[in-house]
Amino acid sequence: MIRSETIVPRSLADALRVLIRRDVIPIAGGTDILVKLHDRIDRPWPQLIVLDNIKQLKKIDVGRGHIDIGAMATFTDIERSKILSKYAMPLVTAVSLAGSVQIRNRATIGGNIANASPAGDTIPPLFVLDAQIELRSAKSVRLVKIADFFNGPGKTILKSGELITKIRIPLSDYPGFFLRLGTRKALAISKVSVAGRFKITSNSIAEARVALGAVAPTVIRAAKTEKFLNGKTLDEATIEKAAEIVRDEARPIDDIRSSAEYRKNMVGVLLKRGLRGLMNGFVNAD
Amino acid sequence: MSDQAENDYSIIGKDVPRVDVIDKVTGRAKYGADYFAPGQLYGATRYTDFPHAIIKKVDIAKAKSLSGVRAILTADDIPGRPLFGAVIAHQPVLCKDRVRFYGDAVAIVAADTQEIAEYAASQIEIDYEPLPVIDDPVAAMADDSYRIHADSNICTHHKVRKGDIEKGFAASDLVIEREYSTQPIEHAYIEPEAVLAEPGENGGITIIGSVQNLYNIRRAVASVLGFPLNRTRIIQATLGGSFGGKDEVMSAICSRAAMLALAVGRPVKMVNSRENSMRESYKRHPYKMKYKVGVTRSGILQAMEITIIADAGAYAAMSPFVTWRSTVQATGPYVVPNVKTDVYAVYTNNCYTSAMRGFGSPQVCFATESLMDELAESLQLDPLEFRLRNILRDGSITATGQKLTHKVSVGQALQAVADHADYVEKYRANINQTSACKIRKGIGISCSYRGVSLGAEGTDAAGVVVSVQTDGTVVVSCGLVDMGQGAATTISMVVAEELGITTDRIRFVNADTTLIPDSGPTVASRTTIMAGNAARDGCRKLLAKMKPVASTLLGCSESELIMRNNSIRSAPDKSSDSKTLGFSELARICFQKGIPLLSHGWYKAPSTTWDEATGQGDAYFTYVYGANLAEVEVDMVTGQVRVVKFVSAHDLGRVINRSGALGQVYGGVAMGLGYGLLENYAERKGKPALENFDEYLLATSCDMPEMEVIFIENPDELGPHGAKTLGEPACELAAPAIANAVANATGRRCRHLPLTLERVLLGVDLNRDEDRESAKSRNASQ
Repeated sequence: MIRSETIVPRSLADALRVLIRRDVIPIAGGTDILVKLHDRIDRPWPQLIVLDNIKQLKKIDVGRGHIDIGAMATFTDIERSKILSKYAMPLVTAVSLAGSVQIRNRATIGGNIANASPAGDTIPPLFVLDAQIELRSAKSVRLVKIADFFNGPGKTILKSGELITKIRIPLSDYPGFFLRLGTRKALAISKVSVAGRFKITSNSIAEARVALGAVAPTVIRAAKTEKFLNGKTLDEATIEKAAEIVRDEARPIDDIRSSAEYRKNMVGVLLKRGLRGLMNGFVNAD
Repeated sequence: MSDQAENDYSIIGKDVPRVDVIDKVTGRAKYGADYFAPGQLYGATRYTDFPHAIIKKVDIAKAKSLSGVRAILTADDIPGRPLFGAVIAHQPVLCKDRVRFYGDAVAIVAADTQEIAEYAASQIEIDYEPLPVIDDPVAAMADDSYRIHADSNICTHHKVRKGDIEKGFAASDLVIEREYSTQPIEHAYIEPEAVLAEPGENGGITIIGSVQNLYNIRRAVASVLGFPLNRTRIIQATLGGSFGGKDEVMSAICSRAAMLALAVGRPVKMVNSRENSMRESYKRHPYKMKYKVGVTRSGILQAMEITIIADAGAYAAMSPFVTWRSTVQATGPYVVPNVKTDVYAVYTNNCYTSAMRGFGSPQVCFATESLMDELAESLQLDPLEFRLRNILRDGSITATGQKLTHKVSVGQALQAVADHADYVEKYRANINQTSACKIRKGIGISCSYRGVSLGAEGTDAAGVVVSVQTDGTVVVSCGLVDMGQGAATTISMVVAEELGITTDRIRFVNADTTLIPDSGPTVASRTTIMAGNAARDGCRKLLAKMKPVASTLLGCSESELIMRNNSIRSAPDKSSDSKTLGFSELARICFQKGIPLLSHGWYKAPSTTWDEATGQGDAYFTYVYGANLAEVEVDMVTGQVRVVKFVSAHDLGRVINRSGALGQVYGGVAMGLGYGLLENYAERKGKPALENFDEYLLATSCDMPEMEVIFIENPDELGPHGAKTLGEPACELAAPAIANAVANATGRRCRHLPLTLERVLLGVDLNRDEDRESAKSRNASQ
């Protein structure tokens, strides 16, 4: 019988306790996991641990020098957060472009990270925002860099019994952007996406962060591009050169959503658009 | 049929909400999957694992031993004929020794739950010997190609031979050759296939579910079961979309559900998942089209030589008819004195293809309308002017030699869309956009003529039953169905107008093969004209019985009776001597007098003619005309196309329900936009490369442009109140208008659908500036 039992813990401690059991899966918004389970006819469903009732996982809090986003904060919560609009604009832009209204109302940031898709829209912004994620089990808690979390498409370092509980972003108001390309205006998985964030002092780039989505088995930081940009004046020549470098850093594949050649070119195009926007003090989100 | 003056109508032409709207928005409407019967089991299908293979062995032992499994049937268990197909009966309900496409079924299971049924189906063990997968229709045409059926892989070859093309090319100053292609697409009805089959009394079977063409399906099911038609009953549930899609695939599913139900003696329900629906349901034909066309310096078409290869997939289904419509309409709505057309439908191991909204027209519309723009560019004419020099006019002769005797309004439609959006001005301005411009504007037009109803495809007649109840309310049922297109409302309006009652007095009942005569399929945008005429006929037969009673009661002659707004008056105005009688009262009195108020209206379309050898004849009894205009913005760096404005003009004869007609156009443009920019049912070596709407992308509301609709009403003497056809014309012209707009913006033409970002952009990379410059210089020299 493929009818799943669900467990609805009321506290994080309860959730972590049941998470130790065998064949259980924590479910956040369910926008990915339910689709995957839907196709599964050969084995019974696992027990689902529904996290909706754990209030502390939904909070978006400002701490000392950082913001903590609860893993169960929905895309809509993030889109509407004033504090995140101030300190994490690339993330806010990314969630506002993802899916549809219905999906944004259900989808959570923790779920998007756990799903570990190279096209996951919140991930490139979290890379450039230097996010750390808190992984908690009944016995332990650890804080890891977002870049260290992914091992491949759908593969992460999450151990059994561990739950993503929060995402920590250092407080900084450096400007940034998130740009994506999809086949249609809404409800489209990104063909390619680029997030960037830049510390700019007296018209030159002190520190560059660039992350690329859907062009490698995981989201990647564009290290060579960043290195090139560090210390440069933000002008048209720099932008052109950076676009050239970033194209070579992308390692995309041909698949049903796009071709490798197109993706490589578009990584350059999106980076150029993002940097030009920055130069002109305005980034077009779409 | 004679017509009243336009302003005389009390209902026709008004905005009437759909008669089923409350049911649909409150969830009261019952779709196929909403039916349950006591003791029902669930059915599941075991599909092949290979697109093309010999079946060596089927072992059901393991699956059958599972708890909760009630029956497993294979081809050996088919009681009647194992093959079905309305045109060529060669499609297996269950495959016995050979599978020909990835959606072919080998076995079916009935079990206590859906999950057990699906699991059991997956546990059936099948041994195969894989065969070569033929996935290219051109290669499949070769004599030495592996044969998918016993005979040649060529399913159909239609021809048109008119005049002498060699003479035509000789008389031409310019001859160009172009190749265009279109992709397979999915109907994407929101409701996947769903049926409930119940073994009935007298050993019969009753099937209720999502069926579009009840009578075709009944013939298939009866033949598979070895039953007479009167013991095979198909009832149409409320349909959640069809677009031509719920025909052959439903013949297969209904037959399977019926076999299971009879085998276990219990009701069996079969509901497809979206994945299985996409896997086994047929698609719109992909076409490869070669056009050679000759034109004089002054822009007059002289000759066209057309070769079209349609991928029929594994089975014929409606391919012979679909490609026939393409054959008739292949030149577009233009006067071409010399024509040689060859259209082939070819078997492959791809998903089979059959009817889909447009039925062979969207493909040729894309080719001809792209071609007209290309010719215009070569002649340095604007595309509107070039079309206007060549379009069909009153009394013109078509490519099939048919003289058009009705009002031919394609020029009127073209002019209407062009004027509405300042086409000529914008077209020229767009060509002169600088190549530095990153977002370029484009504008494009397209136009078509379309044969109404089935034409020379076959018997073209339909019936409507109108029954006045003793309280004056009316029950209407029809052999043509409402599948979401609004037929229930349209037919109710025609009946209401005829009987002088309001639509709230009418209840439209879904079709049932046992109660209503075979009206053919609900296809070819034929419902308004065919059922509308049949409804009028039925109402007139009723009035012939009711009017004498009314005239006696009101003391006037029958011709003095005015029936309107649920009452009958004896004089034209509310003058003092006017007497009135309620329609309900009249119904009651007729009943008391023993006058039966049930009538069966029937309409048979005028005959058509067709000569297979020459492709000459009066292919359709009348035609409709339309034109579309698209305005786009193309991102020259990413290839992203945004349709920002759309104008549709259609001559539909007469608008019956204004809001319904607008809905048809909006929906048609949405589908056409998806066809033009997004949709592609991609297959790799006979296997689908996608299985659900996460990868198969349709246009969403966010992608839709601002839309203007212009209705042209030239009443046709053959239509009910002059009404003709709209559903398919609304859908066939959007893609070429968009493609022409994109070419206007980029200076480069995409000859293959869909115009994805990659196609628009990577094409643009090829000599973009050169094309741009040459287009500009051409324009400058005008």
